[in-house]
Parts: sequence; C-alpha cells; structure tokens
Amino acid sequence: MEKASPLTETFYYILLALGEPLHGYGIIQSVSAMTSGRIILGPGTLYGALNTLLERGWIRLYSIETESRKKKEYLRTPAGSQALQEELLRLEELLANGKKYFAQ
Amino acid sequence: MRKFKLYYDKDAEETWLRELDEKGWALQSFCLGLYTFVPCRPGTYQYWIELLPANLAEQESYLAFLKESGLEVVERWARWIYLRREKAAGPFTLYSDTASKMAQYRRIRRFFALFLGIEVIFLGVEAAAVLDTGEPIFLLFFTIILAVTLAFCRAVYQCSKKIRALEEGMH
Repeated sequence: MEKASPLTETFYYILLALGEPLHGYGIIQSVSAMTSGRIILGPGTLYGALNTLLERGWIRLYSIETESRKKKEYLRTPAGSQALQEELLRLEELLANGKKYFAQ
Repeated sequence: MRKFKLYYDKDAEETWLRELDEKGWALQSFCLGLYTFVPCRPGTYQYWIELLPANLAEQESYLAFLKESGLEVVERWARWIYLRREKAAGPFTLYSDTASKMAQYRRIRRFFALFLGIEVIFLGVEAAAVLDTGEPIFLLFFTIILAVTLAFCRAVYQCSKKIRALEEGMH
C-alpha cells in the first residue's frame, strides 16, 4: 500500500487533474498534457491508484453514465484538496531549500 | 499460423508476442498453450499480458476500464487477458510507476502460490498412492505432478525476484 505522504507523482497528478470530473482516459490525457507528455499514466497504474484514492476518501465517483456503458467519472473531494495542499507545502520547502543552496 | 508453447513468465511471453508482431504475426486466440496467429503488417501492435483481480465484479470493472483506456482485449483465458494497442496510436504502457508494477507481480505471485499449494497436496496424495500400491501408473502421475509443482515453484520465485529488483531500483 502507498504511503499517504509524500504523494507519489502518480497520485499527485491524478489529484491535480481531478479538480474537474474526468473518466479514466480523460485523466491520462490531462496528466499527459500537464507534463508535456513526460508522464503517460498506464491504465493498470491508474486503476489501482483510483481505488486507493477512493478508499482514502480523497476522490469520489462523480457520475456513472448509465445509458450506454459503465463509464465512471471521478472528482476530487475536500479531503483530497487538503492532501494536495499539504503536499504543495512540502514541495515548496524542498524547492526553497534547493534554491537557497544553489544561490549561495 | 499455430504455435504451442507453455509460459509461466508473462514478461517472456509478452516479449515473444512482440517479436512475432515484428515478423508480421498478430495474436488471434489462445487456449491451453495453443496460440493462433494471423498475418499483420510487421510492427502493428504492442502487447501486454495481465492477470485480472480474483473478485468477479472487480474483473468486469477493470476490463471495462482497460477498454475505455484504448486497449483491445484479444483473448481472455481464465484470469489472464491478452491486451494490445496499435503502436501508431502513440506511446502507451500498462504500468507507469514502480509501486504499481510491484503490486502486479504480487498479485501474480499470489495466483501461482495458490496453485502451488494445491499441487503440493496432490503430490502428497500421489506419493501415498505410490507407496501403498507400488503401481507404476501412480509413479507416472507422481512424476507429472512433480514437474507441474516445480514449474509453479519457479513461477513464484520469478515473481519474487522481479519484486526484489523493483524494490532495489526504488532506493
């Protein structure tokens, strides 16, 4: 099981993408666009990560399109936004210390 | 074209499917070690072999998810599925981080460990039959089951080795 903190790149970018409701393929495309193609999430990786995030209550199911197929959309919860913000503070600390070091 | 092969290492099997694709053969079906191939333009597809979760509802949900993500399910055999995607559709992987790759090998290891356990029980039954009756037919059964048991042992060991290698890569 993944540790809750620090977030892995996979978890970080999935949470970031889910500020708007997206289905699986939408998340892959959104993360790929954000990282200019550096991270192309594999569906096997994404599926497991979505289940873990659902268990943690960091994301929730947004809708299930019933008319055709079982196509699930996901959306970040307030708890998910909180986790993302905490991670951002940790990353800012890393960045600030790194910059300070190289500025000397 | 038909080929008969027995694989217990899905990575080696994937490599083989990719090699055949480079030679212009696309997988059409698989059953009990028998692979059927049809001609294709060399280098058309990339293949992945995946083990579905044990839970039936989870299996359907995962399959639907994979299909939505742009993967074609060529064959479904017990809990194993053969996936492919056209290379021209752009870069793609099934697993994009180490943690999830390790989780996949753990799932595969559990699968083989279960069968290994069952085989060990059969092995005990056959050994008792050989000792009790001394009949050559039971010795034959015993030998066959021993071979299968050793294959499952290797499969479990291979998974452990791959998990260790991934773990070391993380540190």
